[in-house]
Amino acid sequence: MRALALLAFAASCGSSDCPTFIGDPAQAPAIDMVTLDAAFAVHTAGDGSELALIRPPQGGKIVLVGARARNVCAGPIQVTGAVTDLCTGRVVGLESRTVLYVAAADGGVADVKEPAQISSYANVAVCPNNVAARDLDGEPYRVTVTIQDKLGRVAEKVITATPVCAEPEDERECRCTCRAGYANGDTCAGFPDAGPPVDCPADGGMP
Amino acid sequence: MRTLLLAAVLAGCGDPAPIGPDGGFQDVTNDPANTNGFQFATPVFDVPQSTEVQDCYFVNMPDLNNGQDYFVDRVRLGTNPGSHHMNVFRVKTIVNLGTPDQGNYVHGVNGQGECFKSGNWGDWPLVANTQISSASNPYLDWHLPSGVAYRFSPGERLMIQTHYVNASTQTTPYRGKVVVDLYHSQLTSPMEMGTVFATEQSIRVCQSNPTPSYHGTCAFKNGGVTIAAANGHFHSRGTEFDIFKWDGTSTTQPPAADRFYQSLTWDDPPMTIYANPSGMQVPQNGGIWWTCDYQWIAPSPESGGCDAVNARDKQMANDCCYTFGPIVETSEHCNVFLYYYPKVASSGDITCF
Repeated sequence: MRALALLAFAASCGSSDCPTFIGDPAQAPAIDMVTLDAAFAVHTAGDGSELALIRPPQGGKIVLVGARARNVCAGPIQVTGAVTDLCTGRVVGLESRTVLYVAAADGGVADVKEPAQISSYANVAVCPNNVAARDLDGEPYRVTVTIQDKLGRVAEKVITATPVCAEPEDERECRCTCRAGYANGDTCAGFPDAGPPVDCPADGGMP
Repeated sequence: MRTLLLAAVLAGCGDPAPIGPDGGFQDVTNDPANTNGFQFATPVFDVPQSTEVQDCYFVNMPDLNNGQDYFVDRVRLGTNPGSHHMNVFRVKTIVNLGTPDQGNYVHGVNGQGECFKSGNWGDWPLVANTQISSASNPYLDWHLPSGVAYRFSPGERLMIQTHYVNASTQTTPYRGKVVVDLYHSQLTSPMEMGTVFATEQSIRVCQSNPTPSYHGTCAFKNGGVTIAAANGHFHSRGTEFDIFKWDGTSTTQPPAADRFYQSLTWDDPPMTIYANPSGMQVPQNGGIWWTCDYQWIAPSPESGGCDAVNARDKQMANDCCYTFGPIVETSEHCNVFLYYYPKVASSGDITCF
């Protein structure tokens, strides 16, 4: 009961530095990773999840990753998403942006103000990709989401997930431009017979 | 003599002489000493009040080496004041710009026309960019690092894009004109200059979220490259543009010691040339990390106010959000122009969107 009272107090009474704190300021911030699918539905992402590769207005293919957070200051939060090759350790896509967070309906979690908008998530561009050693479609990658609120409180979540081409009308083009070795401007005319996929190096290449 | 004397008296006393369309400013000109390279000059053109003019000119590189490829080791770009940017790209995939029926000139005004649509040059490698808009020194004159040069082929098609603004955030005091000089190098086997053109396109600078920061990364396929020059580009809401060397594996912003470029002036960003290559090598498997910081400001009534900004917002948030786009008054950019060497086949000219 005492803890609940503290939580409610913390959630409703902020300071000049943080008008609206969500959760318990005495606790470390924590996040659940979320992703937006091709139908703009939000899903919690964890190990083994699939991440939709979608075509954004800017072109190419991106995955959309973000966070629901606890014990953070609501308002503008910097959200960073990164996709890293498990084999080489190289980051194949990274984006960071400032997103507005508000108290979710239950009051205990900070969620993005506009959950159905792609601008509420890190737009991690992964295709075409000039450094990927493996296909981006259908292969597992390490996915990292980090948040930092205006108080400087930081939380991070790391999972292994698999980007997959998720828009049927675009699937062939997606699989072509997300294959290892594809370069901007290459033709997809010969795809999928353009060559075998590149396997993970035997030594893993992990740093 | 009498006439001259009268002119001298008139010039020294009484009403000032009428100011011509160039107000005494001498239009930029090609370098007469560039006798064996490539030269291009646009006509002089007007930029009416409350307009943004973006034109795309197409040219074919000349044959300077008996049908063989050749090199260019000095670039001189001149822009009359009022220039927002001038870009030179190598033409690759033709979408809706540079089609045969369009000829060599495509005109755009206030966001209308194919010359304004960046998807039309999505895979066109950057050659050069200047954002100088100075009456006192309207030229970018860049002697490439020793032993480094651009490679061109005879007949290779280039697109020269000019963008002039005469509105509230930027003005064109005289008339528009742009010149390009590319100097034929005598080097026979130089290291090739490569370029990176990187943009953050899914940006929003909104009234309810007025100080956003956007970060992106772009990696080189191989190591061993040296950064020769860099420039950033955003519009009037931009407050700070930084570029860092990045190790290619970290997911946190590199330390301040790795920052090699900073712009705090959106309308006169420093084209930073690194004369000393020491310390400009990119880590093996690394690349660059760049950041664009913004401060939302109310759009001017002359540019249409928030109604004009909201009309561009595909998200229809009605939050006066500036989004990615070429119109200086009502949209924003977050673009990196970077030059590096040696360009190798597996890296090439890089675009990161």
